Amino acid sequence: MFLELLLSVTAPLPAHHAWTVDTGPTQAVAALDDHHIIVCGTAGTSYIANIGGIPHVTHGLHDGRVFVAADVTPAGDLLLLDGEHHTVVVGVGGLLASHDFGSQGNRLTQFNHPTDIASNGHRIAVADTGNRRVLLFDMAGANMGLYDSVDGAPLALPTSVAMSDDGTLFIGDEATHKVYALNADGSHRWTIGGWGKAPGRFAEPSGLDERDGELLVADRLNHRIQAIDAATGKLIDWWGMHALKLREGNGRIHYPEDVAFTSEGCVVAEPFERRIQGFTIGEPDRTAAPTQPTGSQSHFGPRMGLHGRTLVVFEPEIRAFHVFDIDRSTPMLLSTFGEPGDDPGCVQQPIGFAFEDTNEGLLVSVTDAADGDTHTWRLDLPPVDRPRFDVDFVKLLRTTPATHAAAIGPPFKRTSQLPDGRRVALTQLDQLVIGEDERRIVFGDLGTDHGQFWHPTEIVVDHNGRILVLDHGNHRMQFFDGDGAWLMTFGTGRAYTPQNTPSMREDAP
Amino acid sequence: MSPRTMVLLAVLPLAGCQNPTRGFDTRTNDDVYAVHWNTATGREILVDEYFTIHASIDPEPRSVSIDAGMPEHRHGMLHEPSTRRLSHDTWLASDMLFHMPGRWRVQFDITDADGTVHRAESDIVLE
Repeated sequence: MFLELLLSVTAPLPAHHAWTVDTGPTQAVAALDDHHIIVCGTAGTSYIANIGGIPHVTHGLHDGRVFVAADVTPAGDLLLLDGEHHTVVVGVGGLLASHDFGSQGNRLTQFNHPTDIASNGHRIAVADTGNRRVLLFDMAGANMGLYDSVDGAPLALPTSVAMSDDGTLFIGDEATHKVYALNADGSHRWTIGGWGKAPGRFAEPSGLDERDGELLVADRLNHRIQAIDAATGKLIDWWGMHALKLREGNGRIHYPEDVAFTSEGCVVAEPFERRIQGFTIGEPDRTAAPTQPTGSQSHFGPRMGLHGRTLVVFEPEIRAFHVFDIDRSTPMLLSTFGEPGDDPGCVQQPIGFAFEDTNEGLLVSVTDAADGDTHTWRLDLPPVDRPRFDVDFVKLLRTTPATHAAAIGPPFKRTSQLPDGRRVALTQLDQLVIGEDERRIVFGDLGTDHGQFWHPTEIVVDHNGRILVLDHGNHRMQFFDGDGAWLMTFGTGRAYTPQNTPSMREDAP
Repeated sequence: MSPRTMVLLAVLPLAGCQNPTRGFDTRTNDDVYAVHWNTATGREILVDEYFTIHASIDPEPRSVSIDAGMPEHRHGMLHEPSTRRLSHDTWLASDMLFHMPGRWRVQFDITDADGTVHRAESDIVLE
């Protein structure tokens, strides 16, 4: 027993870059057998592909469903999680769906935006994220219990689950940044993590997989995979360096969303890079990242709030909000507020901005998906003609406890309207469409230059009639006029834009 | 005189002299609660020396949590202080430690009967 454990701890980790598959945004991956993986993309693009880097689709899994996660039992039975219809689909003997169960709600056989599924062939675990719980079922779909807390600590955003052959359940929570292990009888075995960059800590653990006593954790905001001893909860090792430039490969990892063991190592889903990377056994790659990033130094999150000339954007890596004055020739950063944690004024995952002009001044309220609390700040911004940066411009007024703890926010704002009435929208292909008739304008290829986007998440038309695109994947904002002409690109630091802006190329008068 | 100047004038006597102070008065940012606080010993706060805060809060809150950090540096103290109630409106925060010079902000997170948290702040500049 000791020898087995020692072998487990000292075994070489999968860390050599082996192959890459270009995919669309992919949020989950699972190994089907020794030769195939299941890839769950967004918008019903799930499919099965060969292991080894050949982007060969052998079976589409669309069927009108939007699968957000998959798992395969030791017997080879396939489990798929339909996030759109809040349903578990069970396939016996591979792809043949034998039955499904679940609907939207909060009863014991219902889900609210479930995000992950795992099974050992006897029990099924579902991360019921919207209800802040993990549900257990038998293979027929009968409820076997639920966990809404672990060792007295409530689950906040459980988004990943894994299950070992002996029934040990592993839960990853993106709000507490911890991974929990529960024995098959439900008792607490161990907890590891908490917010941080040091090995053994996590920043949004978003994907789990277990095999032979080793648990892999996709540590999303730390851009790495961590390996944990499933028996003890001790860190075995970690690997994968932060990719600083888009499409940087060779073992570098950028926002890993999920991880799965394969017969040769493991695969990592990186929706941000629209790819799957495969890794085989080898020495971990820990090439030091450059101390001075050559690309972006900001990480604009996927949501923004706009009120007049005041733009607020969240930076997930530091759990802080940036306040910009966007009516200047170059938008100016005026203040930064918020910090990691769960204290008043600390927001884990903002799901809604609300501005209000009151007797107290301009207020901005943000609801946090982690606990449903709403935090309200007053923005005492400087006079327009005397702009400067100061952390004191923003004061926390109050934190109001949730009356209804919504873990799932409203949809991203992907449509808006120009002053002349024309509709502006981001398509499923992440292109920007202005207008709806034959004169409509469509642009926005996948890329990093001006007028190109990488995983844009929200758009809004400001009070000057400009179209603001939150180009999340490029860590920047872009402005366009109503005819689609590029106006400006900016971030808190340098943005991912290969070309200088036209205004920068012009000779000074 | 700007409010900021007034705060600095209030802070400087504490930061710059060895005499006991009469403490600080502040209000929550939404003007709901009044806070008067001082070091429990009445002595000035020094870099790298533990101190205790004694705070009176009006009206009586349900609970209070006292902490501190450096706004410009975006970090807090090196460990968590503990806050306990002394009477219906007075609170004690022990194991406070400012481990470096600069501007520190003492935060009072005051929870009302409905569970809403209101924040009051005082700035201290240590040299």
